[in-house]
Amino acid sequence: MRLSKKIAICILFMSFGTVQSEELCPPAFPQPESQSKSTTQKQSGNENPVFVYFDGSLSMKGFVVDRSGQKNLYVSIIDDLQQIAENVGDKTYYHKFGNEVHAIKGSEAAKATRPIFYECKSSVAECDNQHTAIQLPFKDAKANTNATYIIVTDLFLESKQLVGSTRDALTKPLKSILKKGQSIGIIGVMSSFNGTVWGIPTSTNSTMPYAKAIKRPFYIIVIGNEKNINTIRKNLEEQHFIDPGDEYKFALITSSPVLKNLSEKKIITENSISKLSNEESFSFQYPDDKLPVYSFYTEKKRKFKLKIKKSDYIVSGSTGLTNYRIEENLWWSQELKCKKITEDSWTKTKHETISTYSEKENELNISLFKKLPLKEFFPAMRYFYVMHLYADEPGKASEEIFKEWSIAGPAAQAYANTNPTVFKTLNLTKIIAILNAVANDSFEPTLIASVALDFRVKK
Amino acid sequence: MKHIIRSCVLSIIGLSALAIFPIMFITWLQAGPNPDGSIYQFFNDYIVHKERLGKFDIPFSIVAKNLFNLVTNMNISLLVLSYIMGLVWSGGSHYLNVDAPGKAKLYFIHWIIFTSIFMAIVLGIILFFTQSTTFASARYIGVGGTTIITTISLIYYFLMYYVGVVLGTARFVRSSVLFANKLPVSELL
Repeated sequence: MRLSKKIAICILFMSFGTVQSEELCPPAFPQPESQSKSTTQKQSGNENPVFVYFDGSLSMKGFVVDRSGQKNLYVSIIDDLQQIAENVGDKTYYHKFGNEVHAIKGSEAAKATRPIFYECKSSVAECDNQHTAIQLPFKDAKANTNATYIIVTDLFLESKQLVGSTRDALTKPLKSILKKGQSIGIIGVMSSFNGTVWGIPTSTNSTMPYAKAIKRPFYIIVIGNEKNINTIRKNLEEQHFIDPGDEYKFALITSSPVLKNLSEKKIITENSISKLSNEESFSFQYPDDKLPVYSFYTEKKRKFKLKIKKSDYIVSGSTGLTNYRIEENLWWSQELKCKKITEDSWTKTKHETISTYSEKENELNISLFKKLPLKEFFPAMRYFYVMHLYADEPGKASEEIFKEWSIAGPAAQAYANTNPTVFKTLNLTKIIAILNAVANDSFEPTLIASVALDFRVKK
Repeated sequence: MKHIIRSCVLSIIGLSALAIFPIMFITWLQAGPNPDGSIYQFFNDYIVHKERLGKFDIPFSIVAKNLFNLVTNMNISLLVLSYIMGLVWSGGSHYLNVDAPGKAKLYFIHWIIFTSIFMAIVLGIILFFTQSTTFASARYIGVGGTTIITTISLIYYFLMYYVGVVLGTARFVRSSVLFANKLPVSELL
């Protein structure tokens, strides 16, 4: 009786062993060409300063003059900026810029919510409030990658600032910033406006002012690591963008819009490929902690889809991704059991395309074996399929986000002639496009996920 | 009964005359064909789905044995069927009592129905071996290969059956249906 009990227990354990640990004997497959970059930069040194730059141009003055019936978000945000800066850094340094950048004291920075900050008593030629040299703070930001740079501006840039050497002066430091792993967050805020917008280009190559706007967007550009950018964004959202009428937009320009490698973080689960777990002899495991392997024995008519949520791998608010690349390999072995399979048992097939991807708004679907359906496979063989999914090209989502607040240079005069109460930003999409182009240049294909299938196909 | 036995013997002689080649072919397939031989190459070039195998990088040598087994089994089945159907007709047609040329039409109708059934079964067997999921190695055969196997098998086994039936029924048919009356042996039966 005792003996039979032991035998029964033994058989039970053995059967569990067989079911739970499907033996794997994969071929030597090529490793992914690049691993995902860590999006969190390490802070070297103790200092983590914050540099705040205020656009001192005259067009900014209208933001600090209250207009009845309109909510002034500019003043409340600038008032709170010191607090926000302290949340992300140790020490805050203030600057004012126009044609040049001037360091200012905290007490002077506090005046940024008053008209006097933007006024100049001297002659127009002597005043540094006629022009916004946005490239200068960017140039500064290149110098210290540990720091966080906050630029407050109306981003009202003339077309000539976005071509030739001025454009280069803008893009070169940006390229350097993005290559160092830093990101650029653009927070656009619609605020009340009571003043004059200067420098609107006309068809006669001169400029004209416009004073009928009651609302206008201003921008807080944050250069730093994604964590700090998101902290600032969160602070603003929680403290200032509370009312339903508050309008704000956010875009993150980054050279690495991929959040993480889904396989390494084990976000790919046995249910990521729907209905696969119902297949005969199904098992799912992470044998080397990086590559999820699905084992199964399936019918030749089956179709499988790997579904990935975009929010799982795309940095929130970033430009997103427009193009993906699937790198895939398939092997077959005549031997079916691992104990008989050696390195030489596997033969790599010559298929170039096996699976394809399609995008939905919030989801990326990989149609496994779409180009090489399972009915094409030969039965009585064991197959091993490895797929690496790469992000190949960043998207242009941020251009779309800010499109409605932008007016192109040539159309500005006609737009002003319609007497709009909400005045758009000159060349905004052009500026965002330039930022995106720089980010694209710095972008490197990034591995999003890897998946392996160890399977057999029925007759 | 004497006539029936005589018909069956003659039918077997006719069937066997043409069964020699499939038997030789089967023996050759089972013995392991020479990879440089023309039939081996013929299979490689025309029977298998070369492009698909090529994409998978599966050499013909790996699939050859299973494929030859499939063809062997199919030919054995067709041989057995041809023998059975040939003998059934040779023996069974005696009961149709066709003893005058005027009854040839009746004979022809029966013969054409029986032969159609035979051909349908032959086609069924070929498709069962080449198209069904019963045999894993059937997946190696391409569309061209299936056409070749089907055509050759239909023609050859019909011929074998026909020869067997003609010899087996020559004594009784005085019509032009099977041309049996033209055979020199018909006078002897």
